[in-house]
Amino acid sequence: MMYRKLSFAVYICFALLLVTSTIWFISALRGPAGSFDNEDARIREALRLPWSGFLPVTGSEKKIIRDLDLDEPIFMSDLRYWKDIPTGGLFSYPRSSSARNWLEKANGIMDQMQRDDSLDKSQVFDLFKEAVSALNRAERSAPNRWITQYNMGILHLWVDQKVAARKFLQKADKLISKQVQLPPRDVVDRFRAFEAGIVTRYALAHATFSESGSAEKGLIHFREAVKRIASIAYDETGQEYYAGVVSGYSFFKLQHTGTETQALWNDLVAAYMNTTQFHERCQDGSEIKPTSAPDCGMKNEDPNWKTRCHYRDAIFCSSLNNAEDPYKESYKRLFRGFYERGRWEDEHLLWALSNLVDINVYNPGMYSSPAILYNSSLLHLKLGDFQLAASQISDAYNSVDYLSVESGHVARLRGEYGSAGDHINKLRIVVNVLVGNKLKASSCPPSKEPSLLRLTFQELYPDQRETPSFPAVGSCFEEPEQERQVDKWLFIHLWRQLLEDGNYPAFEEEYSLLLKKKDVFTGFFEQWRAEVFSLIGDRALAERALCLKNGEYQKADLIEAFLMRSGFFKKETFEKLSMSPMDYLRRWRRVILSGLFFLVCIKLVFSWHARHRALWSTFVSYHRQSRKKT
Amino acid sequence: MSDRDIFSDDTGEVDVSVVPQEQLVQSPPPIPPPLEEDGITTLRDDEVNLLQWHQKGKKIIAVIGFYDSGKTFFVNRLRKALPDFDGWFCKQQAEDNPIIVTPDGIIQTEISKATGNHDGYIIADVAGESFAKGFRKQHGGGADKSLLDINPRYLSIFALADAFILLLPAKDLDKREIAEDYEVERKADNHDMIESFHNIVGMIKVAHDRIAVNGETPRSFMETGVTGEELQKAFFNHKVTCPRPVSVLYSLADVYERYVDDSYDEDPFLFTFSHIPKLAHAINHFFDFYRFDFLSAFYGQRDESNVPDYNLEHHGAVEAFYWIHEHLEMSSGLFGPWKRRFKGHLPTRTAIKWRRLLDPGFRSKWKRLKGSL
Repeated sequence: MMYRKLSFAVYICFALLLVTSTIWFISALRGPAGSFDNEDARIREALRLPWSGFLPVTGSEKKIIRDLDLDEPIFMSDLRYWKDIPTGGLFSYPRSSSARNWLEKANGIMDQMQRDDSLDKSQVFDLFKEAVSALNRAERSAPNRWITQYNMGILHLWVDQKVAARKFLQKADKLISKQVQLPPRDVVDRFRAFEAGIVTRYALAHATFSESGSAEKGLIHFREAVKRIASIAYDETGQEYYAGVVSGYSFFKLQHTGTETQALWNDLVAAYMNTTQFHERCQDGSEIKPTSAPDCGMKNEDPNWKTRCHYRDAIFCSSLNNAEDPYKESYKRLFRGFYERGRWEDEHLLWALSNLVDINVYNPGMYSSPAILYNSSLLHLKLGDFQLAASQISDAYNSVDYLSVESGHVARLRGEYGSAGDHINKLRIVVNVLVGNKLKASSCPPSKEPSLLRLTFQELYPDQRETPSFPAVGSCFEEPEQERQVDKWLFIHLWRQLLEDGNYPAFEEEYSLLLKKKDVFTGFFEQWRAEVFSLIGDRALAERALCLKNGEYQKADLIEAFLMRSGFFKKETFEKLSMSPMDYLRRWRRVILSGLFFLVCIKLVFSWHARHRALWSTFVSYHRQSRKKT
Repeated sequence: MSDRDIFSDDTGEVDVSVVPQEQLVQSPPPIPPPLEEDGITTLRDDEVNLLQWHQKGKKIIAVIGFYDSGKTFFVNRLRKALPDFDGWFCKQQAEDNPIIVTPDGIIQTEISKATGNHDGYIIADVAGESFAKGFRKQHGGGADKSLLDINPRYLSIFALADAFILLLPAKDLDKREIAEDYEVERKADNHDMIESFHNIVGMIKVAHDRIAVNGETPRSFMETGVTGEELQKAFFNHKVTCPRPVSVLYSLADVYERYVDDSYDEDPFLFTFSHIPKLAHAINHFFDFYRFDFLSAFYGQRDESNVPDYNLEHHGAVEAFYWIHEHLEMSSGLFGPWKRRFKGHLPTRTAIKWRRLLDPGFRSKWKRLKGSL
């Protein structure tokens, strides 16, 4: 009897054990890190939320930016005619000579064209014809002279006749190449030759660059022009002539034409930004693909670095070593992306940024050049560094030279007056919208009718009707569609804040509000959401890796559960979970342990039952059993 | 060797009022003597039939016991009671008079596999007198190289049976009774009975050793016979064990109850080990699965009559059959061993170990008995 009671108690114990192990096993099977319900507080702690300023601009946002037609770098096109007509030395014209008279007359007309803001198109054309006539006469009186050819080229560039300009400028380039080989009479003559070489190449670059199929040639001319600045800056004989110029990267004014060297640098950067297919070539003309990051420490020691094939590495290494704020981080990132991640297509951007890094060293801030700031801002917009882009475009907008850029004589003569200002203003608006800076309502004239997205936003959030994150961009943009595109950031700003705070349930709630609006096309937002959670997933994965490194396995498990079962992330994110065999073991340890425990319980119950039955059926007679039943 | 058909009812104890006369009281056909030629015995038709049943997969359960030990009662009780359990049905064969046990619904085609999931059993009721006579010559010990005078039908039982049910009258085993009420004849019978079982176990060992271990065919075993020396050697060979289940039933247990109070509460296992140590020793060292139990024959009998009423409740018969049935069912198949364990059919030696571990009373008794084993 005692044995029956004992066996009954054992059965009860085993049954409880079995139930416990089953529950544990089933709960373990639900996932490697337990359940993920009501874990907001823990996940915030594990992920160290909020992540202020974390979310970078997504690919879909960048696509809108591209569609806004903003990516036009500004060329300063500081193309100036040659004023100085010397009586001796290089480029000399005898006093009272016919050629000199005609040249001076042409210079007078060109001076008027360069200065007079009130000229209309027909007047410009008349003056152009008159100047061409004078220069032709000068050419007939004294043929094959550099000044005549150069000024003729400049004159044609002013009125955008690039084919003719190229013809004159190529001839001028040949002439100056021969003339610089002649011994200079004095220092002035020497620097006159240097400057002539620079401006000729600069003008030739402009004449060539915008021609279809010859952009790369034009870019090489820009590069050559800039290189020649160094010949002035580093010539010891010119310390008095160009006092204060310490480097080829310094901004200064060329004396005989009045051309600003910052225009040369700016136009080189702009040319790089525009030449998306540019790749550096070896002597044999083959493009050089980056294979691995160069050892920048070898730059001065290895003679191979001076070969043409290593020119790019030498320049990029030099910029890497010299990089200062605000370009330091963005340049390093781009440098690593180019060499280590095979982003070969970014070579033109890296060249542009390399030049910006170099000139920034000698011209900190570059506040005197809104065009360079604009181009730099545009470049960083493309690179996704919006804070720097916003800062620089604001500097460009507030620059004292803003108006002078607007009234650039070349743009005016070509009828492109004010276009640079428009670009700066548009970029300022877009970049500020992107980074969430509040814009003054008066930045743009109001649009006639708010976009559907803005109306939807006002309907969903009536309390923000008066103070939206940014006013409608209105007539700053030509197309109403562009205004609608910009208004997408009304929602993005709101959601981005929630996501950076780690308030994912609230984000889902707000997001679903917009999705319910049937008249709004939500394809963009769905893609944006996917991209954003991909970024958040990457960050969470990085946090998980850190936790694993620090031995914080519970936190790592929680982050893993968040990634796998919160429903926010897609398969691509799961696949990034780095899983070594030990990780798998650790990940499934609960399942393995509970499974083993479950099996042990089953085994215990089974063997106990078998033994109990064996004892009962072997040793207790049926007479006894039947009596016990009754 | 008796000329009685060993497959026929060996007594006239069958209640003819329950079972039709024409079915039960049949005069068995005379068995021609075996033809012996150069020491090889030629098998007769019914022995060949037994072989054929065996080859067709029909399981054979041999019911073996001394005369008047209740074998026929057991079989008849089974025949009466089985239909009440899961649709089993018993049929008495006309010619050889075994009892065919088949699942319900295949009475007419009891050996057909197409219509049922069980082939049924042959329950062979073996005459006890024949055992006593067959082995009496071996009494006195000593190895004899000559062939034992054992009918091939006996040999066929040892060769072909898948399970055994051994019946011993319980009342004859009580030492106190023997001591108090001493009778020479009874003692001699008792001794014969014990010796017979001793030799029966030895025969099962010989058969198992030759057929299952050494690969001899049952027919060859039956034809060549067994020598006394072989029997002695087999009995002392503890290396060979047999997986065939054996159920030892102490029959007439209710009669026994009259002499010993509350007999059914006595542990039949300890009862065997303390009263019949020789049999216990033989079974314990040879069979993997064995069980002891009481079988009542007259329990609840009305009017103290000597005629058994098979319709009354008698414990032990059906249960013994089911214990063997479960064994045989689960001895094959993918999950058979698992099912067997779950049903508690551990090897009996394992069960003894566990009982010694869990039952202090048994442990002390076992310790006391061990010296006598």
